[in-house]
Amino acid sequence: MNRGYYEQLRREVKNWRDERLITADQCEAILARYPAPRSVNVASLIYLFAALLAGLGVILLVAANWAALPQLMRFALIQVLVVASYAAGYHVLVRRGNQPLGNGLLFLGTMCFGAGILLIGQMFHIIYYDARGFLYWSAATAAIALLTGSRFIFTAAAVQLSIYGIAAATRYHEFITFYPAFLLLLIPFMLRQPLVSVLATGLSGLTITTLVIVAASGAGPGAIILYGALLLALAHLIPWRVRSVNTVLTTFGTAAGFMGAVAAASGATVPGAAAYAAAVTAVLVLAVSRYWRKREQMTGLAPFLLFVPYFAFADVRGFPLDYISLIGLGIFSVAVMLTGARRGVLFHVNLGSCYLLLTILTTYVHLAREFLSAAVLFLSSGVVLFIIGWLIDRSRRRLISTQHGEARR
Amino acid sequence: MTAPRQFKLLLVLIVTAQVLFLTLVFALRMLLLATGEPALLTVDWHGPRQLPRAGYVRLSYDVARVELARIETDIGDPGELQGRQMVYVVWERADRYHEVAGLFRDRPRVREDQLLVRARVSWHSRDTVFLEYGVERYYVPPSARELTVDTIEAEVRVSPRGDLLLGRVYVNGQELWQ
Repeated sequence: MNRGYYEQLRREVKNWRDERLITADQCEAILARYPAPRSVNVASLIYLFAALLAGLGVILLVAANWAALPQLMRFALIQVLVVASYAAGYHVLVRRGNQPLGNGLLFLGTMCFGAGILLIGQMFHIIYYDARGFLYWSAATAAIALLTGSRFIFTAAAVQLSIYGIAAATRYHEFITFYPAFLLLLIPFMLRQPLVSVLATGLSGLTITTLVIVAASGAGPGAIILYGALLLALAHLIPWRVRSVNTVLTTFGTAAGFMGAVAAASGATVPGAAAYAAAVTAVLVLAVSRYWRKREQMTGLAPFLLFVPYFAFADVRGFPLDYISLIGLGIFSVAVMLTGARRGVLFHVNLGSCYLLLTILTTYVHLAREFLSAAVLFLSSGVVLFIIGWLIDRSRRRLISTQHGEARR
Repeated sequence: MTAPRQFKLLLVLIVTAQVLFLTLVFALRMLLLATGEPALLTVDWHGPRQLPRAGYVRLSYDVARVELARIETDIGDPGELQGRQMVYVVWERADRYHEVAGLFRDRPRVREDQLLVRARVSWHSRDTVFLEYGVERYYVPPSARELTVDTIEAEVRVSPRGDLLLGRVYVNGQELWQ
């Protein structure tokens, strides 16, 4: 809940109490259901940025090759810096109760640890065969993030782990180790603090690194679509207590699925199309069976329309994959918008609108050279949207007239 | 945040793990420098005549370029090798320097006078494989900055597993102080 809405709710509830619509106890009980949203502590941010700058300074000092000092002295110095930063952080945080400065100093400790890894590499002229230095560094940072609950330190751990994943995939052709590391290092914090910002940070790292891994490994759009389908399945198949988890998973899942579908529609080769299509179909069947079992409204499955695996026919000669995929994207966007409007979920209406706009842009870019096809597609799409709009408006007017009739009676 | 006592305990554990990790990495490198088998290599120097004022230079060793026809190998066609693939290289001392005597995909048995080294395939042509040993980067110490280069030799240390560490570097026959 954002702060503006929270303040408005507080004012309204107090007005109800003053107007004697509710009792004072009821007022307290209602307000207790909505805890105050956490505000951004500017001092905390400044301290953490200070730690980031100081840590970068330490790393640059190392990189400048301070050869005037003997090796053992350099090593001892970095160890002293690591321990001193953590000790100072503990003292300020626990003994003095100054959380912003304490977290900043603990973060400085993680930066010094990273500098230590780089220093040893430089001291012994090592070129690592992989990017494991960043993996170890992110492990240390993630541990401190989990201990302090600091979202900023968690973001640093996510960035370090993403650097590891991207470097491992692009420079060293290692594709697998990133995922267990993500599960071990970032998921515990995301489960402990399932806030939109935390989930979005973690999933940004996961999605960007996955896209890079897919590109570097040549796995193709099928892998991206499968990744998106899995995220969406996670959002829908697990009854999350916190609603933001569902929202963030759906956003990232559909974003990945949309990117994969656009790539497939644009003519990118789909290696292993049959295998990926089978895996995506299995996810879809799982989602449908869950809705069927729980007897929930099938309209909730609208986002899954994005994952109908048209790309399975990529190798079939003469199959118009681009047209079918683009029409599929259009159906998905409109379905998400309509179910959002019907169920009163503004997030789905916005999501559907956004994807509809992107689908129109993609279609225009793809068909720009084929004027006739483009004209027919856009004209027919426009007519369909007019009809949909008219249907929605008609049901809205009917609802209003029914309510007026009931009011008169 | 966790309770202060638990917080202290966990923080001590995390910091100890980090300090031990750095110490272990440092100690293992020092141990390898002290006890590893030494091997002297020649560097094919393509850099500028003078060493740079700061940063590092890239050392390209003669042993990094392997012509398959001239050595013992289990690789029939270099095209079978994948990028960054780990391979085993057998070094033999010839006169003063070590040279490549064999290149294998699977770990071979070596004689007592030979050294077994692990490397990665950098790239390959029809009959030549170019290798990376992980000791190609050399951070130039202040004593060597802007030194005019005629020849460069490097002494590396080899662990029993076949890992390498750059030990001493000689420019024009003179050892550089680290």
